[in-house]
Amino acid sequence: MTSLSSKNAGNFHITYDIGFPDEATYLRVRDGHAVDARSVASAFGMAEKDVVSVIAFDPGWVIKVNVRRQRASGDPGETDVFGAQQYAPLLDLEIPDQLGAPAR
Amino acid sequence: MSATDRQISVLCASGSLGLTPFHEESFSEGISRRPHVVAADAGSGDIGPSYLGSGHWYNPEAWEAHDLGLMLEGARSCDAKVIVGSAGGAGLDQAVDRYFDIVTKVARHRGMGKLTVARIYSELTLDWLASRLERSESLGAPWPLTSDVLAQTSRAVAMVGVEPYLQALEDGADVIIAGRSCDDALFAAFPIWKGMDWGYSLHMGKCIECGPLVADPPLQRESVIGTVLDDGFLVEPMHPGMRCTVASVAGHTLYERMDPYRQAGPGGELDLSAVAYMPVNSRVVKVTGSQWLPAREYRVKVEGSGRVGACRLIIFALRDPEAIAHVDDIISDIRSEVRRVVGEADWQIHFSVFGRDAILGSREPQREAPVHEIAVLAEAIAPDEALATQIAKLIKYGSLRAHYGGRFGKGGGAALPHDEVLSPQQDSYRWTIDHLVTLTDPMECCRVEVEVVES
Repeated sequence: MTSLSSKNAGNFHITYDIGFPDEATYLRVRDGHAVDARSVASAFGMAEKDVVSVIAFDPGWVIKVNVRRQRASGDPGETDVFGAQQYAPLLDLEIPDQLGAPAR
Repeated sequence: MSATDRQISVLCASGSLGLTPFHEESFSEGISRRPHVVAADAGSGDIGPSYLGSGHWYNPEAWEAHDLGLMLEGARSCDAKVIVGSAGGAGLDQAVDRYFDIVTKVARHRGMGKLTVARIYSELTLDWLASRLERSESLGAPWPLTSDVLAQTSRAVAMVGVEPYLQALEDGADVIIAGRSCDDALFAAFPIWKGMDWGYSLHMGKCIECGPLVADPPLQRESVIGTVLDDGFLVEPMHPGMRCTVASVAGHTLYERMDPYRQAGPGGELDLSAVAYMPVNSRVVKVTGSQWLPAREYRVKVEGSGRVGACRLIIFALRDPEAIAHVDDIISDIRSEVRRVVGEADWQIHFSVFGRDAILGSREPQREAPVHEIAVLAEAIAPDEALATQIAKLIKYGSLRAHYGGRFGKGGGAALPHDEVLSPQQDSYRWTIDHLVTLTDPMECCRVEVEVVES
């Protein structure tokens, strides 16, 4: 991947944007479903139901993952009010070399 | 101008008014383009619930005055409107008034002549909300809006759409200062008022509301211009070292939003599923295909914040591997000691162990990774400052006298950066309301006041 970020999406969710360097890599991951609710939940040790949605964004070669926050932003006990450093475990997400046939 | 070559340009002076003073060079370049509007968003929910709940000031007033002053002067030089939304960070009424005072002062000081200034207030009373509980639904908050929730709420604001801005423009405003607003609405209002397409105007607003973040590199506090056309809109950064690319503009559509294809706002939804991004040249991107789908019902987002208690902080740190291994025991002993001294009263402590899992909490996969030092941030929250301070002192003392693994820290069991309890200026707050309320009239949740300022 070439870019990875996390950020609040509203006060109760965090959105991860996983960007890929070229269309081929993007399509391989998108169509192979290497990033899905199960793999994301497993990377964070969270319940799959806390992964709200996984959305492929073709115009930017980005896969977007939305999860529920552990607490609302800025609530007592907050350590990352912008949700800025929540993406780190995704750096270790394994993307297999071959993930089925590419689409198109 | 014929109907085919209309264009309305909006200069975003700063991605966040007053957060730090914006750069004057790229702003001047923007003014030289003679935009129709000079605008900036001043707030965000990102700053957490404290500023909304406490009414505490978010930015230094000098920086807000810097930004507002330059925006006013620049706009006067090219006969543009000035539009600012979500004043003061949280968009409370008091912030709208403070910005109004700054504008008045600047206008008089610099002899700007007659200026029609509109104020849009969107703070809501608990009574107003109480009468609309049945017309509310949860947005982010996983609980319904009830009278119990209102009882726990200190302050609330509606996040207004374009309608109050349109009214202010109808009323002849040269300057609009608004409370909590949808960021895209404050940039889209003027183009929409001029008859441009809602979809292009709002999508343009979404693209430039964070200023430089839509461009590459996203140099901070630089101006960006958005121009709405009949068949799309253009985005262009004003700093010569920055450029808008298809990747930077398309990528920004994702920023801090859950769905890049459908984005709901007051009164409808922006459908971005058919959007195309095209480079006009090496620095400008044209966007087409954005569509506004009006909803059957007009729903507005309401944000509410409630006081949890007074807050005191203490930080202690550990270097002894044995102490690090026993940090949970140390924390548990501290809790017991707090219970012994202050009882089971209405208090809470949040321990964050930096070096282990402070940032990700239970989502940290490397919780067991070896570390050689850790810091513990303890947040003590109690109904009043005296009790919160006592608890923080008990935490500090407990860390110094911690015993673990059969050993006692005689010389002090923890490293303290400073033997003082830290006192945040604000109490502790939490989001109580993150809901939608259905309105019969978009103006139901706000009021517009217009005043002519003469200098």
